[in-house]
Amino acid sequence: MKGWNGKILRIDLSANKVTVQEYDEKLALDFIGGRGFAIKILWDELEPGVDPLSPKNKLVVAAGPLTGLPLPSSGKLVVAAKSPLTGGYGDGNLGSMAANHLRRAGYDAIVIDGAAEKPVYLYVEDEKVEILSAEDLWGLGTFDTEKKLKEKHGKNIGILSIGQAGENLVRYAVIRSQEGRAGGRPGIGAVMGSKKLKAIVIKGTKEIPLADPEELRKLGREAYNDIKGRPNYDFWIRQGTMAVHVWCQENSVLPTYNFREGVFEYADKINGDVMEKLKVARYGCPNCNMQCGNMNPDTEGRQAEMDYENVGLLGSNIGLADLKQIATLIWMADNYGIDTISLGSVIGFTMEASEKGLIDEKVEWGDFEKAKELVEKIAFRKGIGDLLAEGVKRISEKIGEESKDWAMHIKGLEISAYDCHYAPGMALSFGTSPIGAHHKDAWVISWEIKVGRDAYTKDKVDKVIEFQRIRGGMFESLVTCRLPWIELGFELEWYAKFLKAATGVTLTLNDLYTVGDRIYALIRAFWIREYEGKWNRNMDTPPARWFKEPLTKGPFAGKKLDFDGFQKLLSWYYESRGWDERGIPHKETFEKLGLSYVATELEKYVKLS
Amino acid sequence: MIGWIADLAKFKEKEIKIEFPIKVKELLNIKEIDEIDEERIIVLINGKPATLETKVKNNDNVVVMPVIGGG
Repeated sequence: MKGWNGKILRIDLSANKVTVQEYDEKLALDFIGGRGFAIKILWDELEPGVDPLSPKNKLVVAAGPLTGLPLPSSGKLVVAAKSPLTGGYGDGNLGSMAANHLRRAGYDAIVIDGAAEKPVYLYVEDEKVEILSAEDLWGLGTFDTEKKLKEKHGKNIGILSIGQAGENLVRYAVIRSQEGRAGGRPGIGAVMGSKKLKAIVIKGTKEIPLADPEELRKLGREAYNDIKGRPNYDFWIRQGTMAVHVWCQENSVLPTYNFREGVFEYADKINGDVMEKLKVARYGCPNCNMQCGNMNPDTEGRQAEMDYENVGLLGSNIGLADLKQIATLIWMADNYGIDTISLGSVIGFTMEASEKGLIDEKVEWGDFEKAKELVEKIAFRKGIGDLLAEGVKRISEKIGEESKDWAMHIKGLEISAYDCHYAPGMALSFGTSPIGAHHKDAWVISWEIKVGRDAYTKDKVDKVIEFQRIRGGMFESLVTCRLPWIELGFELEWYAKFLKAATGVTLTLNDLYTVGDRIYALIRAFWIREYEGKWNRNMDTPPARWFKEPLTKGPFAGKKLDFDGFQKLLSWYYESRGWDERGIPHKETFEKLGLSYVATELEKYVKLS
Repeated sequence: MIGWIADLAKFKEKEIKIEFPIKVKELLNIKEIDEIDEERIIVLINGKPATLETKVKNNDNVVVMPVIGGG
């Protein structure tokens, strides 16, 4: 095989054992890499019902055949496990030198099983693999962890690490890298913490085997130039994802006061234009020429990364109207290794619960000092932080049934920064996202606004599926970043050419979308095996707030989602995917996708139609 | 105008009086406009979906913004 290394590094931390697995071409062609490899491994190898924070869970770190090559925004990898937040499949992608080094060390993935007795970190240098003591790192934040590891191993390494939140098993702890990148929203950092694994350090020195290296380099050069020449390149470089803030306010989709509203009265104090004025530096992932990590100073003078999602959830969603204060919360979350989206949702939920008298703690909207205190308490599970570290679904179950309507999550994962009172297509996208309510798979809202927001029509369903195939299937398995395509209009056809030059295999975009469908069906099977009889279509339905409580502010005051309309979209979605009315794939659908063995296994848990 | 469209058009908001209906495209005055795939641009006139080719009359409220990816 060319393009793929054909090797997976296997680490058993309980047995202190390292092995190298060679995998066959079928895995590569059926699942490509990244998310595809992750779900295949987790489906095949995890015991159903396993406690996600027990040694029996497995942590998968997976690259794809384009990862680490001299191609645009290709320095990314996927981290995945059974999620301690949702109980289902969980993953995330992040940019990291670890992606490039993993591939150059001769592997496409690492699978970590078991748990160490004392804190350790993994050191990989080509064939040399060591499990080393991390006792001097345990308790450190992610910035200090990276610094210490670089002092020890030199700068030419890739690092994935967790902060105190991962160590303390905060259910929405992430994995961090490059002093700015984060991935694994559904608590993949907590899985790493449960294994007492503080960090993974990789140094790779080999060449990645390529089918046509000359062609690949040529395509790479052309592609980088193409991206740089795009008309909106300059603006992107200046504002990155923060440009979305003004857009969301204008369209009344900015999450505000725990998703009660879609507009914020102080939005113009915390948007991309303000960020641009305060900007002191720009960071990003390896191999990227459109780096999006824009750095602003926080209240302590530290540099924090200002991405739209962070600012959406830790700004308007908690009523905070000062960009420097928001930057402080982001810096703290990044240092502790907490997902900023879930964190903003948890704090917003806590503020609302306080306002309604459902908790004793007094936390007012926009109270920066209190928010800071909560972030620290969550990271260390101190006082109320122990409950808040569980995520909004569990907090809501604890404080009372009446809070369920405004516990803003789907499948247990907190909703990312788009209010859907008046965006039924986007609500469907959140509902059917395979890890819970995340925007990564099908960010359909922009297209929806272009064609009309009122409609509950089948074209919206088709668009959600199209995006899921491209974003959630293709990009997550190749693994490269989707932003050149979606933000700058870089054409998808490039990726089939890249893949051909890297691997020698001709796969059309349609072939890649079929792989995407296979991945989706398998992820769905994973959820259903875990939830068995408890699985139903409510798992794909957004919280009641969007259906029951209309917007009260802005040009779209009075708008809310129509419940029956949403259910109609969901039924069409199931039908198009070949899933039944419960959202479970038909036996025939599994068979068509080459997943008959999955159907056989799943029938032990639910009756298939 | 919003986002990179505003950046290329070099204005965010303005009131224009027109003699006779003209296309949204002509209001924008973006020299690169033909290089941009129209699929990547959202046009709303009085809140309703429209295109760059739609004609605008006096008192119409025109919003032009990019189709974006949202991180």
